[in-house]
Amino acid sequence: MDADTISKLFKQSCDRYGDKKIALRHKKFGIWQTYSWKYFWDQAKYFGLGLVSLGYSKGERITIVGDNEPEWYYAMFAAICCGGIPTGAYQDSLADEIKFVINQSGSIFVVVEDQEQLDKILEIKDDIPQIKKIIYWDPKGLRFYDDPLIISWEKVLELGREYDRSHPGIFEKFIAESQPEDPVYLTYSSGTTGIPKGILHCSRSTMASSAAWDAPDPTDEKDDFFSAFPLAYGAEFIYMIPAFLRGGATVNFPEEPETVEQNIREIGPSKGGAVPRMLENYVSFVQVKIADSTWLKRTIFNLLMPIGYRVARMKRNNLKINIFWKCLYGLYYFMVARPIRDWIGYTGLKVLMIGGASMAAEIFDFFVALGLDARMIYGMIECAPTAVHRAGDVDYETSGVPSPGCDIRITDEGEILTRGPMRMLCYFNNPEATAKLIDASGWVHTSDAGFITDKGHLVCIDRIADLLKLKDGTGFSPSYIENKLKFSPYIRDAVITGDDQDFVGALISIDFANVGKWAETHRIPYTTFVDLSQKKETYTLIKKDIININKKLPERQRIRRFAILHKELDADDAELTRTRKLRRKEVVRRYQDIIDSLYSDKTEYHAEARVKYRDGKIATIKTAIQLATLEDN
Amino acid sequence: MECKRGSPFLTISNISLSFGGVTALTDVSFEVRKGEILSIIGPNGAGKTCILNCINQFYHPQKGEISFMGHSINGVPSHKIAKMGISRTFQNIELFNGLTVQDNLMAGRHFYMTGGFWGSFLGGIYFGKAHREEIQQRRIVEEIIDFLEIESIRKQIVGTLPYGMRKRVELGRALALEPKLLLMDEPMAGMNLEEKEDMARFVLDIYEERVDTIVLIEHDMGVVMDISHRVVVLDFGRKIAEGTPEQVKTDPDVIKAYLGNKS
Repeated sequence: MDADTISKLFKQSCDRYGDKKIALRHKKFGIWQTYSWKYFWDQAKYFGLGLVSLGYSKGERITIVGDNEPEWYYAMFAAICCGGIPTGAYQDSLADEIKFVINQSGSIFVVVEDQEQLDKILEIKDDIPQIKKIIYWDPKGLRFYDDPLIISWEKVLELGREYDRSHPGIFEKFIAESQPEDPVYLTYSSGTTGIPKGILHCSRSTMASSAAWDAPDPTDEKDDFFSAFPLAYGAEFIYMIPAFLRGGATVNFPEEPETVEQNIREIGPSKGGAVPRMLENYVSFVQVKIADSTWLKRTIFNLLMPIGYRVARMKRNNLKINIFWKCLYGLYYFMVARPIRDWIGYTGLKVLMIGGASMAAEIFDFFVALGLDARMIYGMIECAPTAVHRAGDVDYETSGVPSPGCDIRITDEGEILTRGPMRMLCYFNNPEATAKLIDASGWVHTSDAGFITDKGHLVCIDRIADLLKLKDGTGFSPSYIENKLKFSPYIRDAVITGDDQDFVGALISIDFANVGKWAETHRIPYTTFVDLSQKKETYTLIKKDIININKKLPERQRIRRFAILHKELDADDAELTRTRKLRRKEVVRRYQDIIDSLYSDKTEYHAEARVKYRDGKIATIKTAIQLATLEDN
Repeated sequence: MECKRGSPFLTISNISLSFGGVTALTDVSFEVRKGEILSIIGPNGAGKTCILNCINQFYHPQKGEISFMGHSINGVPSHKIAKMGISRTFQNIELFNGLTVQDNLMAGRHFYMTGGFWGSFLGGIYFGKAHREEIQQRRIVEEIIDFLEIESIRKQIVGTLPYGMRKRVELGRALALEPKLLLMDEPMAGMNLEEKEDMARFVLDIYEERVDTIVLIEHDMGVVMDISHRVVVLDFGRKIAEGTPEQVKTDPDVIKAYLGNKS
């Protein structure tokens, strides 16, 4: 019988490959260390049984906090195989945020990476009384910690081995008992709209998600994944892990978060997904590097890049590419595309799945020109993917056609509804929110506004709540304009305003590294971020980009006034989520005064901003923020 | 020779050092006990670095004796001192600026290489004992890289690194010697708050995991009071106080040296 649950899939692959094939690879001590499926199995098994001997049982939750390392996988699979539910907290979360996850999920174990995370947990120890043990896997600096709650990874493995001796075959029994509808994974929504909600997935839903994601380029034994998204974020689990298990592929873990870029180049993963934010960063990285490069390289790039775009367009329109263009493309690929793909670690990648947010067409184009089979994927983690591009039917302005087994309906109000096997079970311990999301006939209300094109493609415009209207009734999507702005290498974040106003305005947060470099090459002295952001020259630079973008926007949606923020938007200030999505309400509330001044005739606004540092200290920054007007264009 | 925790490890007795007419140290004595973090503090020019240089035998005191694990080390050349198990970091970072981080750390393993000239020659062309040795030593260096969390700069040229990182690399090289006693000359000078906190964390981690006796020169009183077991205070080349951080903090002589006389 085919494996119908995650834990059965796991066992099937471990049995099939044993110690003959590598399951996980982790760079340690400067060398890629490999771990076979047998080793993976043993770690998960004994860790799981160790937890069981400490009082773990079916249906219980554990919270894992740490960087992407094999131990995360071991702990996760240990919990799943024992019928439990793993969940994660972001490793850069503050102690309070972790506390929320632990308590909302009702976890009875916390598995942490190292001293840094352990200290956070110990800080909130009194607020999480249900915790039975805190397990750490990196012992550095913990020699003199003697809290009885703490136990080392090795010790738990030892307990597990003992338990296995007294209860032989019990782990296999747990796996055999697993059912497709049993919950296997809990992830927390990023909280773009308030308090995070726990999204509870079962084997059935994750396997359906993964199958749809994996369809364009089915995973096999030769494939390499790279684990770089925070594991607390659901995407890696629902898309990649079932495919990895079924295909018997290899997952690679970076040495440290700081070395991800080097490590991903060394591996050149053949499977992977990306969020628009990442791709935007790559594009601005390439743009800046090219601008910074020697005359010869810059010329080659500028000369050959149009070939890439041209051929990509021909391919998209299914035109025949003649020998002349083939030769040119070969030259372009060798001289431009391949080195760029190598720099960002995309040499081995064939299909690039992009999801998580909307993205500017320019960015999409760039990656297609690099020779990647880029496809958009749409869906919220609660029910993903809803729509996906099929081979030969890619249109970058849409999110593709409904994924296999998935129905899509658009309500009269323009909301996207969806129904399919990839739907989660429910929001964990939150029946009201679940009832709000899933109606009686099983439709998921996405809260996204969208429509279906003549070709049957789904287009997602924006969150319904985020759509804005000017005074004269012109409706527009702020994130659509924001994405266009973010294509500029000098703009890191943008917030579009204009609700019930006469015109569209923008708050810009500059890209400190890129604008800083630009300032250096143009001999513009500056001291800090605040200083640089308010320079006249910076305003001129940003203005030029906005004028260009305005040309591509309908008359009424053009940006008339803008201000450059004196600080970067930051997740620690609750302005972005941990996955760097804009928390619009919070940002608008916080900068309401600046926005109000945008719509007055002032040319300057005196800001006093409260800044919260990483160590929790709060300081006030006083600045004069310039308000710039764009003349009719 | 083994040394028990708490027993004298390095003893400095009555050393005096002068350069021509300038007296740098006058009759200074104190001891470093096995298993402690000892801080040496004092105003600028008090002679703190001079003491480290004397321990290294980089300076030779005119008077007095320094003994390490019961043996006098007066007149022993600096490289032999290092071999005996005393390693140090410098106030102004003394690294090979043109080499990578990894090579700088490998340089610290020099004493442990036994391949000899011909062995190294063959090792260079992938053969024999020196080659195996290189792998062994590299492993130890990698453990230090992991310990100090400098994986991301492993292959970078030291000269291109920011100051705080270079300090960390230098500390790594001192650790590569696998010392019994680690001398650190102002490890936190010129760092911002976050870097200081990191460094203090590393000093404590080193104390717990790698070297159990550390002598620290530091100006940041917060750090000194937090992490050291005992403190020695110097002023104008003389020792004016010694004791636990609490004792030293309230010592009238120390307050006078730092804040001047009430007049």
